[in-house]
Amino acid sequence: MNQHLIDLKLKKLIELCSETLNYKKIAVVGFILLSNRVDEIGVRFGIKPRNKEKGEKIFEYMNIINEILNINFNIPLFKESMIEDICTIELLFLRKRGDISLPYIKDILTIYYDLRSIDIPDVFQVISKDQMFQGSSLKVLSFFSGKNNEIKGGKMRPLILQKLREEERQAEMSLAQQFDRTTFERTLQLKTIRQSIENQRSGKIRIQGALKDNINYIRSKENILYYLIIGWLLLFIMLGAIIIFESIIYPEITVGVSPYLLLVFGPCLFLILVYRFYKRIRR
Amino acid sequence: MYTIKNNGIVMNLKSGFKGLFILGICLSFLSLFFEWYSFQARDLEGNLVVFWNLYLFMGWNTIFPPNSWFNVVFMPNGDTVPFVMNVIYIGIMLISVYSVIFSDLEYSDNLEKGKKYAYVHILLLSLSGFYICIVPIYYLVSQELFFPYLVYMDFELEVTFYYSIAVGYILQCVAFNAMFPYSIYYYFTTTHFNNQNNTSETVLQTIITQVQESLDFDKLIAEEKVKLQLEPEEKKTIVHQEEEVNQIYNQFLETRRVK
Repeated sequence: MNQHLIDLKLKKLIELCSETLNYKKIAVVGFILLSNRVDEIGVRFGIKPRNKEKGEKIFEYMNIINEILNINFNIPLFKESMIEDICTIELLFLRKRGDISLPYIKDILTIYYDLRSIDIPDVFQVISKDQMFQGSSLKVLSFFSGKNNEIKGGKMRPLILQKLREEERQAEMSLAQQFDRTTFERTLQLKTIRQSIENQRSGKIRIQGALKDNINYIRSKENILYYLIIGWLLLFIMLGAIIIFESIIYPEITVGVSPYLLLVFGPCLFLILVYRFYKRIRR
Repeated sequence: MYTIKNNGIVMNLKSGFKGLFILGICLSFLSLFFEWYSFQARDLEGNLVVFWNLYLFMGWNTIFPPNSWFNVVFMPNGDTVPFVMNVIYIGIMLISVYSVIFSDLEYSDNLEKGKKYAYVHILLLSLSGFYICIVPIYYLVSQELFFPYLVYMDFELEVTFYYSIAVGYILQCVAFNAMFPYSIYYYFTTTHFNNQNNTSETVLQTIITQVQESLDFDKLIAEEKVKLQLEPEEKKTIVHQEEEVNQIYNQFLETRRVK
């Protein structure tokens, strides 16, 4: 939903609820909005979604986001005081089953708007070689060191790495003071370039940390069932191919082995149908 | 069916396939010591006159003494899978088991190391596929040993020949399938996650919609409006009934999937 529309409807709801004195509804709506925003931030940073079924709380998830960003970029996205406030209010909210006082409701809505003001960077963007040194003093060094491919083994490599580290540190310091989308993306780029030069790899975006925290990974795990079907399919095809090969070499045994062909290719057809069915269900 | 919301199921699914992979390796290992092919012949009285079993490590074996000439005449060509290859296969199995038991890809932050193991898993799978395909084609069919099962009556010799794959081969087929999902999953995870550098906004939006709690503002506003209209002017200072208040909270819990 459009943010402006949310604001209008929230305002309307608050007006009505204050007339009916139904503050609990505002509290619940405030918490859902806050929860959704925190979820969105996590997903946009490529972190696994909050495990609501296991009762993972908003402030716990915020701590995870902070931890991951700290490991990767030395920046905490959320202020400690903000997490503490949410912790207090959320625990109270859950204990009192949503019946919290007005100041807390105001705090929740304030925090929600604070979080909404964060411009989340695109951590999935691809960095082209042309972009690598754009808007940086490194452009000059890059020019002197020739093509980007030559940087990896070139004489300028240590100097470029040193420059990159300096710029990265400056960006991180600036981020620690005030979170800013452009600076974050720049830090991400610098980090990628530095790692690319250090590890002699191309411009891939690599988020450090465990794979289990990555949302794409969690989604990809579901494919394992497909592989099971493909495995059986492949086996039957291999067996069928051997029987066909045998029939070509010894045509006189074709009648003898033809039931096996049916036994092998019949399940193949069945597996293809299962595969298609499963794919449709997943869609 | 298995959406991102069901992390627990997906997690167990992966652990299940990991267990299946280890079981597959065990079966594949065992298969090397069982007979892969059986070639027998019986006379009209049903007496066994030819008996040859193919073992990957020992080649063709028989229960008859070397001087039983009829059995020796039908001895298949002595060629079998080279011993070194079997040893290499066992070595690869050991590396695979080690990588699966002692290094969990999910908790590792070094995917490069995982990539090496991924190649080992793929090699293991390829070798298993090689055994399944090449052994029958190269060592059996070429010697007129029919695949997978055939009974042939020779009226001149008055002997019935039985050609059949045996336990070892079947175990290898089962092992291939048990190893396949996890090996491929492991390979794709290590390669895909190093190479993945573009997640489109559409995909992100879909994921965000899946994880977020639904909020129907219109319904909530309508409810409050109805409440206002129903209540008389003087009773606007409402003391909400406990039941109604709890209902709102319960709805919230439902949207969070806590309840």
